[in-house]
Amino acid sequence: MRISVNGELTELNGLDGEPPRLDRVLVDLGYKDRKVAVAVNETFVPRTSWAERTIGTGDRLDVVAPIQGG
Amino acid sequence: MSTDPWIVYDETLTSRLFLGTARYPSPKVMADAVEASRAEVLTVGMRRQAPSEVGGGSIWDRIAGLGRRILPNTAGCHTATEAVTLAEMAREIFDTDWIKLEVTGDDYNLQPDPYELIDASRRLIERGFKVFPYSTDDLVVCTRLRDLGCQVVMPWGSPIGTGKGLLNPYALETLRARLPDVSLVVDAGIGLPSHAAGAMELGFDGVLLNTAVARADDPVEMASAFAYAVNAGRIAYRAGAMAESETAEPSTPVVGTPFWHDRRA
Repeated sequence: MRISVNGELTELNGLDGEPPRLDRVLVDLGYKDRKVAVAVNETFVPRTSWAERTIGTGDRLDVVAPIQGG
Repeated sequence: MSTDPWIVYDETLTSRLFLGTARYPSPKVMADAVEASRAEVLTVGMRRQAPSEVGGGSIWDRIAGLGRRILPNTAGCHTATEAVTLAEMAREIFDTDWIKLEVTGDDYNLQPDPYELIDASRRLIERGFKVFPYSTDDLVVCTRLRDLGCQVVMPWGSPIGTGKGLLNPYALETLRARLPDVSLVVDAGIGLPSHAAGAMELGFDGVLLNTAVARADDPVEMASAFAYAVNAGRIAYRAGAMAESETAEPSTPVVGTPFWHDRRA
C-alpha cells in the first residue's frame, strides 16, 4: 500500500488484509515512542485516536517533532 | 534584577523578554544565552522529522532541559487551516495551550496575513487556545485580535530577522494608547538592546526576539545586554519620562551664576 509520509511516497509492506491502524503504521515507520504529533490528510489526529484511525492507500501523513524556533 | 510582575494569560512572569531558540552557533551557546537573558518563556517550532531525528539528544531535549515555559510557533503556515492544525499538534507535543500564531502572507518579508491571522485566532480561541498572534502594527487588525479574546497581541517592529528595530514608532505608540488593557509585545525586527529598551519605554509589556541574540558575535553577552535593556525600558516607562521641549533649558540654576555683572556698574 502506498501512502505519503512527510511528502515522500512510501510503500507499506507486510500488511494483512485489514486496513492498518495509524499506531501500527507509525511503529512500522520507526516512530515508536517518539515525541511526535501526526496529521492525516492535513487533519490533526490526537495520539489517543491513533489506535482507531485506519490508514488507506493515498493517505498523506505529516509527522512533526519539536525543533528550535523563533 | 527584575521589574514589576507581568500577568500573561493567568501566568505571572518576572521577565519581560521572550527568547527564541533558533540560529545559535551551538546548543551550548543557546543554553548559556537563555540563562544570561533570564527569559522565562522560550519559543520553539515544529517540523517534519524522520524517526532518526527525533531520538534522544535532540535539540528539543536541550531546550526542555532548561525548564522554561514553552511558546510553540506556527511558523511556515500560510493559511488559517494550516495554522490551526499545527497549533493542535503543538498542544499535544508540548502540553500547552499557548500558541505563537504566525500566518505568513508574503514570503519576501514574512509579513503576517491579517485575514488568515484573524480567522485562525477566532478558531483557536474557540478550541481553548491562548493565542499570541504575530501581527503587523495595523491598529484595526490588532483591535480585532483583542476583540476576539487575544489577551496578548504581538505587532512587529520590522520584518523577522532584519534587525532594523522599530520602523514605525508612531504605530506602536498608537497601539499602546488605543489598547491599554491588552499585553503588547514587540515581536520581530529587534536588532539592538536600545530597540528593545525603546519598545519598553513606549509602554510595551514585553519583547520577543531571537536573531539579535543568536547572531551576535557573543550571544551570551548580548543576551545579558537585552535583559538589562528590557528592564531599563520597563522601569523608565513606569517612572514616566520628562516632557520634550523645543528649546534649551539650563539644568543648573541660573541664579547666582558667577562672573555675571551688571554692565552699568
